[in-house]
Formats: sequence, structure tokens, C-alpha cells
Amino acid sequence: MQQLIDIVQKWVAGYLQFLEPVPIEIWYILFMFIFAGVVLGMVMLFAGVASYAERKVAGHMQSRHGPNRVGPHGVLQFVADGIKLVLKEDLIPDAADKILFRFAPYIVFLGCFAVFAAFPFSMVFGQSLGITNLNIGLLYVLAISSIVVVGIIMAGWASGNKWSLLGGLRSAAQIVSYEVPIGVSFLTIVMIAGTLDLFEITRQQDGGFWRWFVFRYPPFTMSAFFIYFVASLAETNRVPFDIPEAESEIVAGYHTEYSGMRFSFFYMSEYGNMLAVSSLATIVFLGGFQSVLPFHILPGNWFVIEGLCWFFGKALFLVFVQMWLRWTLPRYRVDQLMHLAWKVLLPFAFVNIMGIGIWMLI
Amino acid sequence: MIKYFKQIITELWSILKGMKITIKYFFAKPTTVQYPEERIQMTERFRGMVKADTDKCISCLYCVNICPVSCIDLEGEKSDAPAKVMNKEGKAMKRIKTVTKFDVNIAQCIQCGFCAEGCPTAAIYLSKEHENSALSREELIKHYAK
Repeated sequence: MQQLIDIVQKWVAGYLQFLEPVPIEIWYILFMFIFAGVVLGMVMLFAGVASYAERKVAGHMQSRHGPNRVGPHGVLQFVADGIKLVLKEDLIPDAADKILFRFAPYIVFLGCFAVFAAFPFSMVFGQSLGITNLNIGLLYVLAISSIVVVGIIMAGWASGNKWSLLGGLRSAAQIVSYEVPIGVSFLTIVMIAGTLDLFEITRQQDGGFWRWFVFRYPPFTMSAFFIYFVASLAETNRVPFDIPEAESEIVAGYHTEYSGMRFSFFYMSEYGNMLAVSSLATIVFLGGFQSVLPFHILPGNWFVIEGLCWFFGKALFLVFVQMWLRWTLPRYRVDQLMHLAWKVLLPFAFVNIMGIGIWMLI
Repeated sequence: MIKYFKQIITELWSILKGMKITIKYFFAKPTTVQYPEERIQMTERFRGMVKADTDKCISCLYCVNICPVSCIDLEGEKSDAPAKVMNKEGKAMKRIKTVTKFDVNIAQCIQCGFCAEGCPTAAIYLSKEHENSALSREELIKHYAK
């Protein structure tokens, strides 16, 4: 990163003499904004494209075509939807707590987008390509992603609507329960890797797919991956765990009263969250930007492109699996949801920890 | 305890079964027809809009009398030069009357097909046409007489 900054600084300074005495701190801040903008733009674009892809996948799984009117094969559908949402009237119900109502979508949005700050998307100059590289990356991601629930409860409470409140309460129960199996299943990987640094975790999975953590101690790490994947579906309120917004029971749950741009924030954060949990599963279990093969296809620093391809290939496949599950399974009941979290996933996660501990000792 | 593990395994197995079905449909061809661009082929016995060929009509008023909803309005007058018309059996019939008014109210028609069944010369028939929406009630009365 330092080398890259030096190169750009020299190049700019050559053309703009008066900018030469700009201190390095300014460059850091500038780069922070640029990287944050790039990642934010990427995730927002992903949210748009994923909403199109979701409808297309849904269509084909139900023997339909899906959207196919705007543009070739309907690819511009998400642009049309976006324009519609921006132009819609901003409605706030009379019974709403106005300040919290306005604030809630941004909290949900923040909780889902801030996790991308810590992800190593690829490797360049032996460093992580991402906004930042935290030595407690995994802890940061777990902590920030649970802010989402605060936003959802705020939205549910502030709407002044019984359905919204029920949705918010369900969401609180669900997300708080499923945080526990997620944390415990990550502990197994932290035990193997000995670090919370996401870049370091990825680097330890170098050299072919059999080095990925999911295949390292097969019965235990595979079930840890499975537990994480199931619990992450619940974290993102995806089907079969979409009880906070169960449309046949409580209208649309916590976002019943939202429309226009505020609704689109919820919408974008749902798809952003899908990418976030899939990226995290990719980094921790599936080797992140590491290749399937034991060698790199592109030489030297060109690996950065290959790394990005591997990373997003794996992450987008997991996103597809999430969509696939959504159009396969019916919704869980609340009691079944709690049963799954506390009586199935959590005991298995603890068995994993013990199993890996014993295996590592032997 | 055995029941607990059994339940987990059966649940996982049923999820996999469901996923197999959905992925099969994902790669299969969609069955929906993109309506304005492509249309489905109507079956042979499809009963669409009533149409009339007034050149064949002999003004026998059979259809007017049989129609259960009285949607046909037919008037004829004696012609000076009687023409010959083929009937359903292929025999020639004398056409003493010509049609001056042959109106069918599509809005009232129930497409029962009685008129077409009984018509001696097959002048009135049910077509395959089914897109008969209109902006006013007057447009729904079809005038077939020349």
C-alpha cells in the first residue's frame, strides 16, 4: 500500500507542483475515501444486480422467464426499479416516532456495509487489497454485523404499527440467537489459524483447495461451515428464516411502513448482507482469494486480478445457493427456529470445538 | 437421542431432495408463453368469437331462435335473383332471401355454439379469435351484413 501511495504521490506531484508539500496523512484520508467509495459503489451495484438475478433465478425455478421487458433479457430492470424508488414520495406515518423512523434505515445500511471494510478481497505487494487490514478482523465483522439488529428493532418500534413491532421483536430474537452458533463455529477456525486477522486466515489456506479450512479437519470443519451457512441465512433474514418479514403473517414485518428511498435502503442492505455473509464464509472456510489450484495462474502482482476472480467467484456461488434455498424451502415457525438454533446448531458447534481441540492435541 | 439424530438426517435429506427439484427446473425451459410476441395454438374445438359469412346465409332465422341469450339480430329481404348455396351435406339450396342486417353482440354471447351447430349452410361459425376487448359497448356489436 505504501509503495502504491508513493507512486501516485510522485505522479501527481510531477504535474501539480503546488501539491508537493501535501503530507502523507492527507493522502491516507484521501485513499480512505476513495477505497470506501469503491467498495460502497461495488456493493450498491451488487445489490441492484442481485435483485435482478434473484428474480431471474426465481422465475426459472418456477418455469417462468422472470423480468424480461426492460432492456435485453430485462437486465435494466434494476435501473428502472431504482429510478422508481428514488422518485417515490417520502411517506412517514402519523403514528411514527419521526426521528427514529428516519434514522433506522441508515443503521441497517451501516451495519451491512461497514463489514466490507475489513475484507481482504485480493493480495497485492504481499498486502491485503481492501480498505483496511485489522488484526481483529473477524471480531470486528461479527461485532459490526450485529448492529443491523438495532436498526431493525428501531424500524419496527418507530413505525408505530403492530406488524412492524412484531417483525422487529421476531428479528431481535432470531438474530441474537443465531449470533451464538456463528461465533462458536468461527472459534473452530480461530483455533486452527491462531489468529483473528482475516488476511492471515486467508494466507494460511494457500496451495490448493485441500488446504482450505473447510477441508482441513473434514468432519468438524465441514460441519462448522454448514452451521455457519445455516446461521448466516438466519442472520440475513433470508428464507427459510424470513419470519421477521413474513409477508403472509405480518405484512412486511419491520419495513411495512417504509417506502421509496428508505425502503430501498432496507432492500440494498438485504442484498449487501447476502454478499457480506457469503464473503465471510469464503474468507474463513473456502480460502478467500486463494486459487483452487496449488499454483497461481497469473504471475507476480498480476495475481491481484486472479485473486479478485476467485474471491467473487466463490462468494457469488454462495449467494446463488442462498437464492436457490430461498425458492426451495418454506418458512420456519418461530418455535422451530429457536429449536434449530439452540438444540441443533449450538450443540453441534460445541462438539466441533471439542473435536478439533482433541484432533490438534493428537 | 436416536430420534433426534434421525430427525436431523431426514430434514437434511428432504432439503436436498427439494433443492434437486428446483435446480432441475432452473435449467429446464420456461413454460410461459410471451403473449404479445408469441401465441399458443388454439385447440380444434376452441370456441372463440362468433363470425358469420353473409354470402352463405339464407335468413332462416334458426340461429336467432336457438340463441339462449338473444344476441343475434338478423333481417333479410326477398331477392330478385335467387342464388344457389351449398348446405352442410353438400347439396345445393335456393337462396331466396338475402341478408340486410346481421349483428352479433359479442358482449352478450356465451359462445355456446348452438347457432353454428344448427345452421343449415354453416354461415355462422365460432372462430379461433379470442381478443375481443373494446373501448365501448357499441364496438362489441359486430356487423357482418354487407
